[in-house]
Amino acid sequence: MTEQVSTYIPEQVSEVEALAKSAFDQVKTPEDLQSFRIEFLGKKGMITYLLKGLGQLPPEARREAGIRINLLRQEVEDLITLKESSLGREAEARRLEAEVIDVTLPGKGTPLGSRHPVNLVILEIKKIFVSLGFEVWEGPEIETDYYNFEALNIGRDHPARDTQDSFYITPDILLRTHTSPVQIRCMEIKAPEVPLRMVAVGKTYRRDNDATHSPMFHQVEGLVVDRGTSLAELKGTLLAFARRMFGSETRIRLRPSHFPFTEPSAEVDVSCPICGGGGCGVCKQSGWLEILGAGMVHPNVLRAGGYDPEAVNGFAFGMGVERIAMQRYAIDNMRLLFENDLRFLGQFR
Amino acid sequence: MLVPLKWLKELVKIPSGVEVDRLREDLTGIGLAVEAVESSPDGEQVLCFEITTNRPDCLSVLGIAREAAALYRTGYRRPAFRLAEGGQPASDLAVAAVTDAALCPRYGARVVEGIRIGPSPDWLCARLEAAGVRPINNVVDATNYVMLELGQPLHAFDFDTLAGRRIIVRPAWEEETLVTLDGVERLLDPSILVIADAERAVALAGIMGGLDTEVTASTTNILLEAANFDAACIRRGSRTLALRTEASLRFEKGLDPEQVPGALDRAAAILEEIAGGRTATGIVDVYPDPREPDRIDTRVSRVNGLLGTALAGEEMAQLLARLDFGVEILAEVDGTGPGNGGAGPSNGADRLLVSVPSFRRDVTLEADVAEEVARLHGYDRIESKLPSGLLTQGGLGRWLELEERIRSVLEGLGLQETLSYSFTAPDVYDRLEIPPDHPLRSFVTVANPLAEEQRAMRTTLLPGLMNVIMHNVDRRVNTGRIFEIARTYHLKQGEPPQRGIEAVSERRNVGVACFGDPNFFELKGLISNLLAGLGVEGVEFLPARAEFMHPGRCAEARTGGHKLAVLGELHPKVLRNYDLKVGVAAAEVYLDAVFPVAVQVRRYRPLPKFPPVVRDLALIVPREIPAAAVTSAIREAGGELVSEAALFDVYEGTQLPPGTKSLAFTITYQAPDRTLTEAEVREPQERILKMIGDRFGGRLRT
Repeated sequence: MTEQVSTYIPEQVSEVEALAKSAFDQVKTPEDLQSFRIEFLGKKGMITYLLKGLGQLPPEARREAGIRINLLRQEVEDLITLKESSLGREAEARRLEAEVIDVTLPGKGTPLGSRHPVNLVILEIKKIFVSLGFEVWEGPEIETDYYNFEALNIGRDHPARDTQDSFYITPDILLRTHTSPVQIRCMEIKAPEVPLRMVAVGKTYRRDNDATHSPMFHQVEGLVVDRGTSLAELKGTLLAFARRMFGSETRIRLRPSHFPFTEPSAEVDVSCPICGGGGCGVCKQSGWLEILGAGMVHPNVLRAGGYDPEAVNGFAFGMGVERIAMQRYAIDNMRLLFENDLRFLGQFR
Repeated sequence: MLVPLKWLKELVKIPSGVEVDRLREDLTGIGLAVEAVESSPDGEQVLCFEITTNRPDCLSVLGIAREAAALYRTGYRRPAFRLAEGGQPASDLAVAAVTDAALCPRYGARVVEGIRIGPSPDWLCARLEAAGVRPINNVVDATNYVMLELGQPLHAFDFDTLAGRRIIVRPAWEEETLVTLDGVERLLDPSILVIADAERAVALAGIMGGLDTEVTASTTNILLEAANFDAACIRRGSRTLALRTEASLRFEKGLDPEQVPGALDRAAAILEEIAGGRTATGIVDVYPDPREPDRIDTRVSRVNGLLGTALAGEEMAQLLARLDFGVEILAEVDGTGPGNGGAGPSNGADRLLVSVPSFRRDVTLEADVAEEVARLHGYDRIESKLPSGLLTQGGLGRWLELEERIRSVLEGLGLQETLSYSFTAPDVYDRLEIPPDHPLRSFVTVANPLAEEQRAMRTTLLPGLMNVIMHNVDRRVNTGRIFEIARTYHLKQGEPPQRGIEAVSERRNVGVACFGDPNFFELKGLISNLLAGLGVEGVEFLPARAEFMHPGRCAEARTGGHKLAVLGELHPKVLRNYDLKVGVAAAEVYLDAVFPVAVQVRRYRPLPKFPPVVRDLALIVPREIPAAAVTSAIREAGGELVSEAALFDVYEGTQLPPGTKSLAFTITYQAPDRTLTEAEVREPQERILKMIGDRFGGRLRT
């Protein structure tokens, strides 16, 4: 064979070139490409054969043939590289195609927990009042008669004690029936400092148990003591609260009422956030929801807290958290809030 | 309080065009809450009021009429009637005496003779029924009618049954008894005020009459009583006897002594009309100390300051006059009174001398006058403004911030927050197998619970968590992770509760429970994540014992000597006591201990500048050696260069000598100032192996 290539035959190169081109067209798979590479560029491949023959050519012919054959080799290598990457892409595409998953299967990791709806509402209320400059206070749940009643202008024989039927520990110690005793405790610490702006949050207890009452429930109570504060400022504060809590279109309505610890006193209604005041099932067609009790702090209560009622005024308000939670989340039975069915609680994720 | 609309309209003119819905809204707007408008049996409209406790005067048609008249400026009138009294003076027929005028400021009586007992006429029955009162006979019905109309309870005695024709209002004797109208024999004591005749108690003052002196079919002469009693005394008596009546509900709120004669006249006139009675001349009236009307010196500026209004003194006077208050406008030289509070004008009169009508005993202070002004002026006409005082910095405070942080960490870890009652059943401590003298048994007891299972204030959050688990498992929710942040209540041991509030303490805890098929490590992961989330450092988990926990699967979390939490798998006997078929792992975190070691703001520690050298080390140690002990030995022996020793595998099995286990650690060596060399790491590595050998008899697993 070596003798046969001792002379440079351009036709031979063209023939190999033509062979390579037609063989390349047949390449469809990585295996085809490998055979193609061996056939032309392998140790015994056709182009390798031509290159080996170069050394036996006379120097003058060797140069031209060298250029020609190397060009061919380069061309074939380029073709192979190109083909390699296109075949690679196709192969990867096929592989990815085969790796298809069912994206509708559930995700992994621990499902999110949930907060109790009562505490969600408490947090909202606290945030609003904190932003209005109120400090949040707490106090003992087991209280003395003095803080729960006496200091709040509810004497032993006051008829208001009937509406706050209490759980007693001893004749003088009871489970607090409202968060109002925290007002007194707070004033005792702060007096005569003004302005005092506080809300008290926590559990309260009364001897009631039905679809709208629970023996344990939560209250948020607020107190402001300042020189020159007034019923007008009480209205403004509650309106600001109601708009943040129930929406910017909310209106409030104050109706005269009676609480022993405030004078004047008011029941505060909030325009129904569901119907906007037009009347619906939630507000029993009235357009209003009874949410708060409020009033100007009774002089006796200010005095009990250590303030001089001639020098300062106070206003106070209180609300039941469960009722707000029930309205907010359209819960129709208070018992649901204390049964802790995880299917119920899971709805507040 | 039920008020038939027609009855109301007899006493007050309601402007034409004010329909019942409007009336309802208007009355509610001045503080007389109309809860509903109902229909009486014969189709009359009836207003259902919820009257606040300070307004007993409004527990009557007349009282509502007065308010409506003030509201609409139309005036009201008292019921019209003719009384044909005559003959012998009542004071010749009957004698009345009061032993303590403080308990009975006024006692009035009329004698009506020649009564024919029978049913009341239809109009009277219909009206009583519309107001929710059952007709009985003409005499009783007449007294009830007057009570509803004028607000003064009355009682009719069969005059001929009163021994000595004599009335004595006195405290009951020790162990005196009285059979009341309802047929119940009542045992009395001196705290209860009675109406007595010459021999015995014949009625519970202000509460209920006695059976022996009741009006019967054969009664012909009656003594009609209208009196005024001390509110607190009636309230106490009614509470002591657990007997509440329409009369006691009114008396215990404080009634007007001035209304006594009018009520007697009205009732006697009705009896003349419907029962053929002849009224003896005059009233037996014991009223030693007539009440002077209260006068309240009221500063216009102070009222405006309290309300945030700018009403002139004259306007206030007009409003008050509509409510029957007498007002004298006093000129004030000084213009502004004290306590103006910076609000309200002071032009014109600044002081009003306000005389309170006798039926408004609730009004005693300037603030009460302010409320009267405000409610008739209209609460809705008072402007809304935000507080004008100095700014204050609001805040949750550290405790509530800590609680919020706990909620967000546990919520993120997939736990559901529950909320359970603070009280529990006393026997829950038996169910939890807590021994008799254990501190958790020092619970505070509710004296008057609604149910036995709410008698004990809880000393641990476990009972609440268990109830939640029971409730859910009953509904086939068989797995879950729950938590609750709440207080526990403790009686200082050995202290009787009589010692007062100091004997009681409240603590804050977080209860955590996993139920279904939980194991200790799932729970431990939650608790260590929680403590890490609160910034608590140096937490160790040490084996511990608790009666309600699996003895081999219970730990305490501690840091710096403080017990932060107890956690473990519940003891099978506790699960049996609850008849629970799923497993429970539960923890109680003591927030009072966590609070001081929780970190709110973290300090940054510089990141290492040089690469670490990491070595894995598998050690064979006796089975009973706790992994934590090996970890601390590694740190101790390795010295400063060991920045982390993380356990990544525990193996026990046939490839190891019996009684041993293999613990595999990844140890990270790190120096702050250089890249460590192989040689530098070899030395601590050898020290570690030596320590493992010396301390535990362990060795390298090869």
